[in-house]
Amino acid sequence: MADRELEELEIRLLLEAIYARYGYDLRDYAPTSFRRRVLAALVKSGLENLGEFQHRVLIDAEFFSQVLEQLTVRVSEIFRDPSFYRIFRAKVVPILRTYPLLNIWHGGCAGGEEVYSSAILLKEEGLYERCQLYATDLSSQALAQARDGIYSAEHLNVLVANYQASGGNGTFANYYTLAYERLAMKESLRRKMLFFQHNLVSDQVFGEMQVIFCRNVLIYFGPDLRERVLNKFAQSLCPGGFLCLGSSERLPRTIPITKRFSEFSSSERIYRYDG
Amino acid sequence: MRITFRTKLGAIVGAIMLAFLALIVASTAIADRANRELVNIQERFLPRIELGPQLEGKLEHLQRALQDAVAAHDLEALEATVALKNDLLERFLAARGVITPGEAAALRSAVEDYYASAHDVSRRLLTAETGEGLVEAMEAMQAKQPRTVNLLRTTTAIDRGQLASAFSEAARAQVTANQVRLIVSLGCLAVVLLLSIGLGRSTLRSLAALAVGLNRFGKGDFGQPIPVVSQDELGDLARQANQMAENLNRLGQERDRSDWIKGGQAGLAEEVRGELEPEETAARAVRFLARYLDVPVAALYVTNPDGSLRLLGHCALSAVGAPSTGAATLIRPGEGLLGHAAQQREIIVVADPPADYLCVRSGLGEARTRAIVLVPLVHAGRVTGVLELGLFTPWTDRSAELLGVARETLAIAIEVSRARSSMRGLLAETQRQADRLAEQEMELRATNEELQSQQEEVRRTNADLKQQTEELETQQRALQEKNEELETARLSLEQKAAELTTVSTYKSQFLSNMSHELRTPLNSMLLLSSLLAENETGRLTDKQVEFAKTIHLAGKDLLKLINQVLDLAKIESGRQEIHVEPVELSGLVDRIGRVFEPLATDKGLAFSVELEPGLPQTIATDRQRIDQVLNNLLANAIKFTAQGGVALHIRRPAAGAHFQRDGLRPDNTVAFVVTDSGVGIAAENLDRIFTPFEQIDSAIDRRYGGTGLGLGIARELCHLLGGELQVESVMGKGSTFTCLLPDQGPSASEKVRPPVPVVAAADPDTERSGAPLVAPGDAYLLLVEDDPNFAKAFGEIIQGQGLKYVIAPDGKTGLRLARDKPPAGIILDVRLPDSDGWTLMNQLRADPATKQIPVHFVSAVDASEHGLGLGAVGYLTKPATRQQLIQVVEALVPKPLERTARILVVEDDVVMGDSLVKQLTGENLEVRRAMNAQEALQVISQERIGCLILDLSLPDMDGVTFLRALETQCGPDMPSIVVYTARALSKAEAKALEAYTDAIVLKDGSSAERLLDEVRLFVRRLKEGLGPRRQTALPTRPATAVRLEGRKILVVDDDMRTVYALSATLRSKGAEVFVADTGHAALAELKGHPDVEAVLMDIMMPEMDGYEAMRRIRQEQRFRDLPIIALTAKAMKGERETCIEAGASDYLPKPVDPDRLITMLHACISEKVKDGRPGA
Repeated sequence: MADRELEELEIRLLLEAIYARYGYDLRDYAPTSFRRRVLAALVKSGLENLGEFQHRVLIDAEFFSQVLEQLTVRVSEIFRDPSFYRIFRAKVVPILRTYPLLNIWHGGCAGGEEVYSSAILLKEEGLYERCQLYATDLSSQALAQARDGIYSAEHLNVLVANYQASGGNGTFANYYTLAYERLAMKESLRRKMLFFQHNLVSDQVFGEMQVIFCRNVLIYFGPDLRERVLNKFAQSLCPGGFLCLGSSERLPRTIPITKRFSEFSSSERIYRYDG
Repeated sequence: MRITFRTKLGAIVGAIMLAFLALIVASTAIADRANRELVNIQERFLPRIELGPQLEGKLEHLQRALQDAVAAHDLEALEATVALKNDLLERFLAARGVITPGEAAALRSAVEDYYASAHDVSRRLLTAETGEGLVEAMEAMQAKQPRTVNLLRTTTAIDRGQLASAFSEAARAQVTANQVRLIVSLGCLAVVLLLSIGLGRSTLRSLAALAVGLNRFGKGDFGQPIPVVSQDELGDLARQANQMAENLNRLGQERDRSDWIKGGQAGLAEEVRGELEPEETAARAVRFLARYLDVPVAALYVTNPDGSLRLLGHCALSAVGAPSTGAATLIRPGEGLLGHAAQQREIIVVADPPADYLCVRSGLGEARTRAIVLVPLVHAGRVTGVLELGLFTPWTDRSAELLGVARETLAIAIEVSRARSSMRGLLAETQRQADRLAEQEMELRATNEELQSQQEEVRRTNADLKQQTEELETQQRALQEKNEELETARLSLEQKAAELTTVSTYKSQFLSNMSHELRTPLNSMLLLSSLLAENETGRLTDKQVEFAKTIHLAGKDLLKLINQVLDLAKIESGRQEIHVEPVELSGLVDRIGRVFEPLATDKGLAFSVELEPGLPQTIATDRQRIDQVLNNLLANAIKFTAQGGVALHIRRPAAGAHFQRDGLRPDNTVAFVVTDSGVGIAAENLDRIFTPFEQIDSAIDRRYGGTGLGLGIARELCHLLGGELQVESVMGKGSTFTCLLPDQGPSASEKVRPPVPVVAAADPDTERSGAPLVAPGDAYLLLVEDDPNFAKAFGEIIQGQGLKYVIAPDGKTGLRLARDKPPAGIILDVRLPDSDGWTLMNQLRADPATKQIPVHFVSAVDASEHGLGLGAVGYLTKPATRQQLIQVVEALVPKPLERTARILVVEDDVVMGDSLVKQLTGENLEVRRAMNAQEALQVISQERIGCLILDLSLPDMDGVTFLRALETQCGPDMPSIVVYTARALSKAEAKALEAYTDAIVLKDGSSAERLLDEVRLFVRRLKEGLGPRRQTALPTRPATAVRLEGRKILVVDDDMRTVYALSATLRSKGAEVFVADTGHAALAELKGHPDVEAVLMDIMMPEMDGYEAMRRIRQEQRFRDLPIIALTAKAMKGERETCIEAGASDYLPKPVDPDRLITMLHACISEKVKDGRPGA
């Protein structure tokens, strides 16, 4: 058996082990990028081989949560892809205004940058008070970070520029406190946020949503998982609700449920659930 | 001697410099002489010329001073003139170099003299001393004055002759100097010229020779060196040019040589190129090499696989192979020089071989070779062959070198050609094989044809077979028909059997009734006969008394018989009641010993009772019945045993014991074993002994007496107590009766089982009568009803509701139909000829195929509690009205609501309403209009409305009130509701509205657009056959029979869909539901309703999540034991533990399975009730 095959087998076994031990179902993730992440995590752990790695994962829950973080890590920043928020503001917000209550779900919120971005946007549009933002992620560490809402101020000028490019009509500085080269997002933004550990793949829907953000998450899933997740989103969205994917993503039209989604903004990957 | 060019140039420059130096020295010397002459003139004559006027001036000054002094009569001035005189005198002294001392002295005295006289005269004149002598003195003085001047003039005058001669002398010296200078210059010039000419001539000669030489070299003539004519740099140049020429010459030769070698190599390569056979390659190579190397004779040997060498090509070898020539065609490895060379892999040169070694012949003569060269051909470390050359001339390096490089080329060429040759061989072989393959293919094709023909044969055979199969099928069909007939027969048999059972039940009933009727007079008779026998009056004769006694005894026997008949009838008709209580086994043993020991002893039989250790102290059963069974068995045993003994063993059945009834296991059953050594029972009769009214042997009966009912009753009683009665017997050896009873007697539900009224057998044809034919796939209702008239009437009602139905006259048929072709619903009677509704219900629920079919009881027996407890959707007690029966049908098959796309716009604002109506009409929708709530309700009561667009701010009613009124009016047939309002809604208001509405559209942003979207969604759902959106949240009806009547349950969830679904499920089970959408609200709700018996808690909620809410609830003492079931969307392992830690009693993952939810709630609540700790 070639080394590569052996390695694939070991990764598969590792994922099976994770599923059996912790219930995290990472088994259908897109293979190539995932393999890279597993190997990177192995190197970072300093362990000899995937066998040892698996053992450690099995016996050490703390270690596992770090591994999980590495396996599912994503990069984001506040008002990343300003054009998305601009379109959201211009086209989605007027429709959201017609709902007396808004449930907004950030599926796979990672460090929470997007949650704060949308909170700022909703605040500026006067919708924040009727919103409930659900921010969920697989990783408890990511959730803790999202809950804290503390980000590097290193590229503050970029953030400000993005905020303005996104159509921000206030002063960005009103939304954070700057200290120790860190931005601490204001508590008022967090008031309507609910942070929960939630596995998009194996956990169930928990409410009816008007908007679901799931940006740059699906790319880490294999076709089976994608289908499961999208079915879940369809179950969760109210008819006419919005699904916002990442700019590089696209609804895989081979999946039957996607026939019930129509494109709302092709340039920004905003889809609308037909019901 | 070597004189370099540099030296020569140095000499010339030196000579020129020397000449110049001589010229300068000579010129200077001559000029010096001329100068001296001039200086002489200057020194001798110039001061005198100057001195004269100077002195004359001084003298004149003195004279004037004297004269002035006289004129001024100044004596002192006169005396001051002495200084002038002395000055003059000093001048004489100073001019000593100019004037000779003699002249100076003469002058001095002359001046002194003049001054003395002048002074004297002057003084006299001043002193006015006239006297004589003054004139003389004056005269003398006047005489003396010119004299002095003259002397002065003469002294200072120059001798002109002397001056002229001095000048001429100087001129002469000048001329001489010029002449000398000219001569010296000319001399120098001559020397330099001579030297230059010498140098130029020698240089030019050398250069010419050099040029000639180089020119020659340039033309490639290196034969003659450039002559070295001088020993200077040019000579060096010539030598170096020679050297260069020599080098060029050598390089040229080398190039020629290399060209030659390369040419040889290329030529050889060219020669052996192409697809040649090894022999041709060898021949060409040898020919070429012989020609190129100019050797007369050459041969090429190649290495065979075994290492031997074989002659492959040659040139000028005569008669190869002939022994006389000595040229061998095959040489073994290592043999001779050739073999040696092959082993050594190096070129071997044999100079001067023996004279007869190898001769080359021509037509004109022959000559022997001067040298033999053996060249092994090596490539890739392998010796491919050896080239042998015979030479007339000595072996040259050039040739050696060529062969050194060419031998590999040659080796490769030979190998390639050999490889090619073998490849050709292989190709030929392949070709041959291909041919053979083609042949085989042909054969195969032939075989194939054959196979095809065989296939065709098979096909024909198959066709025959098919025909046979068809015949078989026909037969099978016939068989099937037969089977069906058989089945029909069987069914009718079953029907008959059922009838028989009914008859039997009827008989039991009759007997039971009769026995009562019989006992009453019999009791009187017994009492009277015993009174008679007592003969108190003494009027009866002994004989008469005896008769009376006989009557009494006979009556007693009759009563016993009647009692037993009654018992049996009671048991069979299901009227026998049992009272389960703890029965102590030891007490039982005591009593039996007490009763039967004397009887056995009387008969001379041994009697023993054994209670095995390890049995429970008590068993739960009916004391009276077990006594009855054991009494019967023991009495029989004693009765039928003449000698030996009777024993009762109470023990656990053997481990491998076989039980007929389910639920009996060796570890939960007590066996009462009665053993006797009596007459025994024949094997063929064992089945019959339990049959009532049967006696095995009338002779026995006559001998032992008895009714023959006892064992039948015993068996029925055993069954009634949840056990069974077994018998083993050997004719003549004795019998063993084993009564098996469970430790725990029959369950409570059986105990309270309501009686089944016995009815007359139904018409077996009911199933077919009247009911419409049901095609496969049709939805139909199954009517299990034995009363044909009622069934028919009900059937018509069902048909009137647009449904089909099938009547099953009894339970068995009903069950079969339900299993074979599941109906949409079952209407079940409790009284059934063959069984009862309860049993059938349980059977339906036990079978997964029929579990989900909704069942509605319709019966004259009023036991709705029990029926609903079994999981029926409803219970209707006869007699029933037509309306009630329609409701039964609707409860089983909810009528698909008539859906319409008609839209009602409820809006008090005229403009707004009109524009809405216009817009919707534009969408091709039928629109109605209402200005206020009352009007809206009226419209809805008059015509069907599919969707209601509702403005919340109506003049006569607020939104929620209106919606409640609407709900009351429409019931489950509520239209879809879209709230369209400009009012700002609070969260609570919005949530309250969500319970009734499909969508709430605020008049803000793109509200018109969204309203249209919602209306379109409604239309689409209508087309897809879907009702209002809030209804889809309802789960399927839970299948479980468990009910939660009157239970107070709090549902905590922020998602309204979940809340609707859970509330609906719970309400369908009779529970009272409270709702909270956050943790805080849940706490408040609990505070307000502390009698809530269970909480369903969502985990993910805003403000306060489920974990926190549970912790808070548990903090209150009174809620410590309140059942809380956590509902979570999380499926992760460990979630359950997290919930339990936070205070949940149990956990259910979302989506919630209604069955599990109900069962779990029921379990939680009843457990708590049992613990006696009510939540409130």
